[in-house]
Formats: sequence, structure tokens, C-alpha cells
Amino acid sequence: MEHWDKVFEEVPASFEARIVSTLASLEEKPKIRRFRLPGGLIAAALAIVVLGGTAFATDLFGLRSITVSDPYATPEAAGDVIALQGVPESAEFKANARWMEYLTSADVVSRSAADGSLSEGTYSLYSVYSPEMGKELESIASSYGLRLHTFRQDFYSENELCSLAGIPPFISNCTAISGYVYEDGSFQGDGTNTAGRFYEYQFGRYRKGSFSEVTLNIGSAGDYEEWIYTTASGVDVQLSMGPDRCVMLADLPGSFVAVNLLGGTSGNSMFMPDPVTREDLQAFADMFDLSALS
Amino acid sequence: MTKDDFTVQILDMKKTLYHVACGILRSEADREDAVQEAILKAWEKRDSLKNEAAFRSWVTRILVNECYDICRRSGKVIVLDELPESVAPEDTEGRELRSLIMQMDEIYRIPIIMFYIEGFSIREISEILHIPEGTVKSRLFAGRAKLRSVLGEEEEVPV
Repeated sequence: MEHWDKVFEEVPASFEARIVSTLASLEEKPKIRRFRLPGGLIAAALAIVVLGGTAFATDLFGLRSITVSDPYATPEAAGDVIALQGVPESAEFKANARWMEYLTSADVVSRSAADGSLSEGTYSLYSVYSPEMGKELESIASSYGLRLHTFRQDFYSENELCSLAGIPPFISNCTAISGYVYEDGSFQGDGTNTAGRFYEYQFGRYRKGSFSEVTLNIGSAGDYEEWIYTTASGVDVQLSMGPDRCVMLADLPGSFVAVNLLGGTSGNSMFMPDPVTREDLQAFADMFDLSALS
Repeated sequence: MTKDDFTVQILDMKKTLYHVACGILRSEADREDAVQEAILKAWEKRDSLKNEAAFRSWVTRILVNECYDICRRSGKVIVLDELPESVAPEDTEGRELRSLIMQMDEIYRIPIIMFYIEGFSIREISEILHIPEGTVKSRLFAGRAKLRSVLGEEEEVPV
């Protein structure tokens, strides 16, 4: 066929303008990826009960036990989806699972996209599109005694993160991290640690007592080798090493931590093309003083 | 990679970015959002790109991810219609071909655009879409056969 060069010829001016403006906005410090964010009710300054101490045990529960329904499933994105906050039987996990089940069973995502636009204000942080969804969200959070987020703020460095979240520095060898912090000190971000090799990851801290809807598609949960590892800072974490990614989970006294390392044993990750070994993953875990996040 | 180098390379591939986004997303607004996010993410992660020769494939892969993220987050349907007339070439055959491509099933449409229009190799498409090279070939073959049945051409698929 000789017509291929005639199929698409022009790039719309608005598309090119967006490219140009985006390029013009680039700075040496990294830009965050914009997430669709949760939102919530009135700020409830409930004190999180911190049990104290830095060393505590995490039981091996396995990724399979924290899978939830996936309302966004497509043939191209098939796989097991896990909740990133809570351990099995925790209120946070159960609430997330119920919310995902609701979104899936009611086909809310498709209907909402067709019927309306994202709500503003109270529910915008949870991608709520309708009063019906808002009512369900409040019902689920209430039934598990969880509060909804009300506010978030971007950060572009570890110092900024620590200042906003009210925590001490906790990452070693961090060359870049950016993301957003919620009103209760929960946060999510994309980071890079450089120590012998690059570690590209997504990090989430979820304060207990708050509702989060964040999930992660991990492919097949059966493909992961899992074990408990005590980090250099004395915190037990569950490490899960898969072909394309690795997951680190910790159940801290006042928070859950989830880290998605963007590389695995197969070594074909776009971000981390070299295979990740068990030793690499443990060395990566040692770069975080999770006791600072308790 | 300096900002100037990065900027030059992104501008050099603006057509590729647009065409790939067109293959997945319906609205211009979503395409613009996707390319913005892809550029920001590529800039943020630029130090992780060890082989700068792979820049075009790498950025395209990021863009594909962003496009699918938008689809998943919003529940939006993958594009099945054609481009707006405002960007359509005047050439009748080209317009007909574009219309046929955009009406194809997505699994054929994306490889067709990447291979025939953007000139990615089979291996590059395999890496960008995370599918085996054999699958890329079979989708190109099938996609091409569908087009040929409509356009009535005899040429073999060059894969």
C-alpha cells in the first residue's frame, strides 16, 4: 500500500501547543504524575493511636489474600488487583474491597463516565460521579469506622514530603521523589533511589483509620515469591518478588505502607531493565526507615 | 539528558505521539492530557533510560500506558471512530484508509499505526505493547488482510 503517509498528516495546533507548553514547564526537579484523588468529608482530627516501639512483626499473608474486584478490568489489563492499604481482616482492607465490589457489580465506572462528570468538592478525591456513589462511599466508610480524606497537597522532594506529613527523613539514597500528601499524613509518590543501581518505585503510606481506594494490578498473584524480611531499621516487611514488579508491604502501628518497585525477576521492565534479585529487593527495603512512619 | 536534548527529541516525535494517542483515545482533550502526562513522566524518569537510542520507543511506551490509564480511570471506551475532519488529509484514499484503520479492532489498529505509519520495528512494537513478536506479526497480518479485503490490494504484508 502506498497510502500510509497520507493517513495522518497534521498534528492539531492544540496538541502541539500542549506539547510545547509542557516542555516549557519542565524543571530540573521532577514533576509528579497526577493521580485521580480521593476526597472526603469534614476533617476529623482523630488521633491515631501509635502503639510505640519500632520493631514489630508482620505475618506473611501473601498478595493473594488482599486481592479485590477490579472495576477497571479490560482484556489488555487482566490480572489480580490488590488493595494497597490494610492487611486481611483489617477495616481498611475490607472497606476497600467492598468499594471495589460496588464499583464492579454496579458497573458504576462505565455508567458514570457516560452519565456525568467528576464531582467536585467533597467527593472529588474518590472519583465519585453521582450522588448514588457518594452515598455508598459514605456508607462503606461509616460502617468500618473510617474517615474520608478531605485535602491533599503536592510535594516535590523528600524534605517537602516530611515537612507536610510531619515525619522525619526516612529514605536513603533517594535522588527524586514527588507526589501528594493528604491531610492526615497519608501520602503517595513516585521515587528513585540510586545505590549501585536505579530503583524506580511508587510509595504509599496510608494512615490507619482513613479510607483509601488505591489498588494495584500485579498480574498473577501466583507468580510471586514471598517472604518476611526484617529491614535494617528493625521493621518487618512482607516482600513479594514477581516477574515484572516487586511489592513491599508493612503493617505499622499507625499506618500501612505499600511500595511498588517497578522491576522484577524477568528484567524487562521499562524502568528497571536489569533483573531484580532477592538481595536487590532486600537492599531496597533497607533504604527505608519505616519506623519513622509508624 | 539535558532539557534541550529532551525537548528536541520530543518535538521530533510529535507526530508519533499524536498518532499513537489517536489509536487509543477518542477525544482531543484526552489525547492532550495523555501526552502531557507522558512527557512529564518521561522527564521525571529520564535518568532511568540507559540507552538514549531507545528514547522514541521508551516515550511511546509511556504514552501508551498513559492512554490506557485514562481509559481505565474514566471508563472511557477505546476509540472506534475516525479522526475529526479538521485534521483529516484531503486525499480521498488516505481518508478512506484512515477511516478503515480507526474502525478496526484495537488489537489490530495499534500495531498497524505503529508499524506502517510510524515505522516502528516488530521488536519495538513488541516491547512497547508488551506482547510477543509473533503476536505483533499475526496482528499486523490480520489487520492488513482486513484492509486489503476492503481496498482490494494484492501486496503482501512485509513482516
